[in-house]
Amino acid sequence: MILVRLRGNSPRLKKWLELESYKEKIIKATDNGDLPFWILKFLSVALGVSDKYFSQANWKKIVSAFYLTLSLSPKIDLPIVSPSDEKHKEDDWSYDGRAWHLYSHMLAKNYGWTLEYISQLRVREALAKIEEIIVDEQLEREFYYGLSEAAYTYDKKSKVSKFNPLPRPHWMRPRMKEIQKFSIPTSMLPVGVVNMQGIVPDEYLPKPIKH
Amino acid sequence: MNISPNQLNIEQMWELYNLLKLGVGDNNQYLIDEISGMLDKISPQNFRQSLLLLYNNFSEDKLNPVQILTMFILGLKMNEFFQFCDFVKALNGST
Repeated sequence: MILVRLRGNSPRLKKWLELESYKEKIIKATDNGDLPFWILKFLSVALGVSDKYFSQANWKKIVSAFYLTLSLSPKIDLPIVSPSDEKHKEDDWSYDGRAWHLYSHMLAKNYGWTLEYISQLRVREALAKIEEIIVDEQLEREFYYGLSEAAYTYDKKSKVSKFNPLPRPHWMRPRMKEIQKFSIPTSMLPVGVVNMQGIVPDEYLPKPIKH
Repeated sequence: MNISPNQLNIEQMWELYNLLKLGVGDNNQYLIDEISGMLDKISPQNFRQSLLLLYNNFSEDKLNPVQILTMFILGLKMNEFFQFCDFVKALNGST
C-alpha cells in the first residue's frame, strides 16, 4: 500500500515544507525525543493516510518507507538552499510551521497569488521566486543603507571614511575560489630537508619543476 | 512460552533502543562481542525489560541463564537491532 501511494508525484510546496519541518523534528528526536511519533507523522503526511493504518507494521518497513519518501523529495540546486556553516538562530517571534506562512506571505504579497495556488506550486519554482524576492529586497535595502550615515565610519588617522557594507545572506556572498595549484622551481625550494608530512595535503606540497 | 521473538514495530524498537543504548557503540566485528560489551554496560532491569519487549509472557523463573541469554541474542538478531542503531546514528549524524 505504501509503495503504491509513494509512486505519485513529488510533493508540492506546502506539503514539502511540512515534510521538511518534520525532518528537522525527526533529527532532533534522536536525542531522547519521540522519534517514532515524528517518523509516523512524516509518513502520514507524505502518504496522505492516517498513521493508524501502518503504525503497528514491522519497524523495517517503516524505515524503508521513510527512506523511499526521502528519495522522492525534489532535489533543489538553488543558492538559497545551499548549506551554511553559520549557526541558525531562531527568531523570538518564530512558531511551529512558520516556513509555510512566511513563504506564502512573500509570494502572495509580491505576485498576488492565492494561498491555494501557492500551496500547489512546484518546489523549485517557488523557491526560485522566493530567492528573487529576497535578492530584490536585499539590494533595495543596501541602496538605502548606502545613503545613510550609519554605513560609513570615519578613520581619524587616515582622514578617510570607510564604507561598511550591509551583511548579506550566506548564499548571496561571493563563492570561495578553489586554491590554485602551482609548481615551484627547484632553485626556490628551501635548502635541507623540510618535513611537511601531515601539515598540508600531499597535493599541495611543493613539487620541483624539472628542466 | 512462545520462543520466537516478537516482530517489533517502530515504537517498541525505539523503547528497546533506549533501554540498551548505553551498551551500543563498540562496533565490534562479531555479534557476540557486541552483545557481551552491551551486557557489561546495561543494568539488569533494562536487560529484563528488553526481554519483556522481545517476548510475550517472558518469565525468568522457568529459564536458566544460558536460555535467557540465547533468547536475548535471538531477539536482537531477528529484529535486526543493530541495523536500527545504525539508522538512528545516521539520522543524528554520528556516523
